[in-house]
Amino acid sequence: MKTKIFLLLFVITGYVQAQIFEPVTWETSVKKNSDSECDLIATAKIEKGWHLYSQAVPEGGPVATSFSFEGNSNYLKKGNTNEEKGHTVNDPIFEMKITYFADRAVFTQRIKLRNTKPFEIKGSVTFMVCDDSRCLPPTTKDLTFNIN
Amino acid sequence: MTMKRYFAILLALSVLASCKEKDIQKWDYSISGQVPADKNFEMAIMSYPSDEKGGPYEADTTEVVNGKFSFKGNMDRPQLAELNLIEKEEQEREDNDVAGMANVALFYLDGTLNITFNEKGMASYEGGGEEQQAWLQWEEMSKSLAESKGGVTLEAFQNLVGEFVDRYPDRYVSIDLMDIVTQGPIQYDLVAPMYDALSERMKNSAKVLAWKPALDKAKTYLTGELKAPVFTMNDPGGNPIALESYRGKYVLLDFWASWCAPCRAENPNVLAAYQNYEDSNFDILAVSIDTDKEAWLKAVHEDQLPWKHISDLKGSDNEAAKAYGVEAIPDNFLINPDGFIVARGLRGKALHDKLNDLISKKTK
Repeated sequence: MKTKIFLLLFVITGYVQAQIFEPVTWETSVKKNSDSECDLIATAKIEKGWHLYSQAVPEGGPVATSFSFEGNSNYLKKGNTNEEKGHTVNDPIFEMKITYFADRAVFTQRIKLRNTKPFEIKGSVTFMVCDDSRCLPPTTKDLTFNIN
Repeated sequence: MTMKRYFAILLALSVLASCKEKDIQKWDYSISGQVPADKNFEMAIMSYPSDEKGGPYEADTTEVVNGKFSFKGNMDRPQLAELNLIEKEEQEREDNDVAGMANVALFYLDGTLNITFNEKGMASYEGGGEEQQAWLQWEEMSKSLAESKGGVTLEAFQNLVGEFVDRYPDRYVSIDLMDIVTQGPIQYDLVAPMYDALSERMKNSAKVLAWKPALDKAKTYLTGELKAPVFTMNDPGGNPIALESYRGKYVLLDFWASWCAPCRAENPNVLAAYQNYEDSNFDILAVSIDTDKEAWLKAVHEDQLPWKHISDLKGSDNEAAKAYGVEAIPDNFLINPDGFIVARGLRGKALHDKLNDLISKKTK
């Protein structure tokens, strides 16, 4: 039964896949927690069947997702970039525990504001994706966050 | 003008005319649904591809009133739609198999169709046009496959699609199912027979016309007409290795990386092929698109790959990968002794079959 469902979904999702591989698209948003604190949110939309990897993958496995934010005098980073729970599996190929995301992944970076005027934070994310039969090499995408 | 030529023109004109007709033709659909009276459904959401090529999904929403809902409209061609029933209050649901398909219907927007959901939320269908009938057949076929002894492997699934296309060459269902073999790199041997089986109407559909150039391109990887781009890249010791130095032999140019699980999973198969043919005029040259030299060498060591390894450690900017248009890995190219490409993307059994066809094995 499960396989039937899998097949049906498989077929459905075939429709939306483009000819050129771009299985992950990124969107950014900013959530204001208080006058002096914001969350920078990067959301990955992942096509069916593809996996995006956690920021914490043991060495010798897939390349972990990583974020970088350009520093400027308007803000301070508070802690590391948080991610959702994801799916953790014992990977039979790499023989290690690997956490990945499917469908959607939300990454959140808390920041402390140092003034009240609007400004922009530039950042980037480096990530790789695989499905069951292939991988795309790590690539870096620019992200922009607008603080109002 | 010869008679033959005259007929050819007539034929071309009639094809043009029928294309034109198709442009104007709209497919009407009328969907009505019933849900059990005691269920607390609020809405039905129906989503379907928005254009002939299967482009972005559109969603229509309608209210469920007294256990009934309906959708009416028309579109350029019948499309596969997914309908979800939405409850007034989201109920905690066990994530079991039935729940996965409960309150979901999959069907073709094609004519007048009646959908009935039972107590468990499973849909049954009545009516609909030829596309819907073909889709029901596919559901039966895929169900038998799922319940068969061999189970669902990608190969079995692809074969089933081929079988379906043979039976329904003039149905949109066929070309929609073919998405699975036409998205991403096309395996010519797999897709060409399906393409050939299609009716002229389907061959001229927007979706098929969109991937036909990719099918033609895939063919060129088999015919030996493409010269393999030559390049030189360093091995781990910094020694330049030229692809041209393999002239006179069949060489499998293999693209992989340490971080790529599907590549690592395929390596034992590549190794088996190497061991079978290493004493014949066959060799392997592996291009890694790693950036981390240590990780690359560790993987070579772990997977025990005795052939030559090269990389410029530029990752996705790897010069050889760019020259060969490699986007996703694993990928490989079989190059003949004269330096022409004779196959691409050989994996699993296909690799052994191809080598067996081309190379006479020397007996040890």
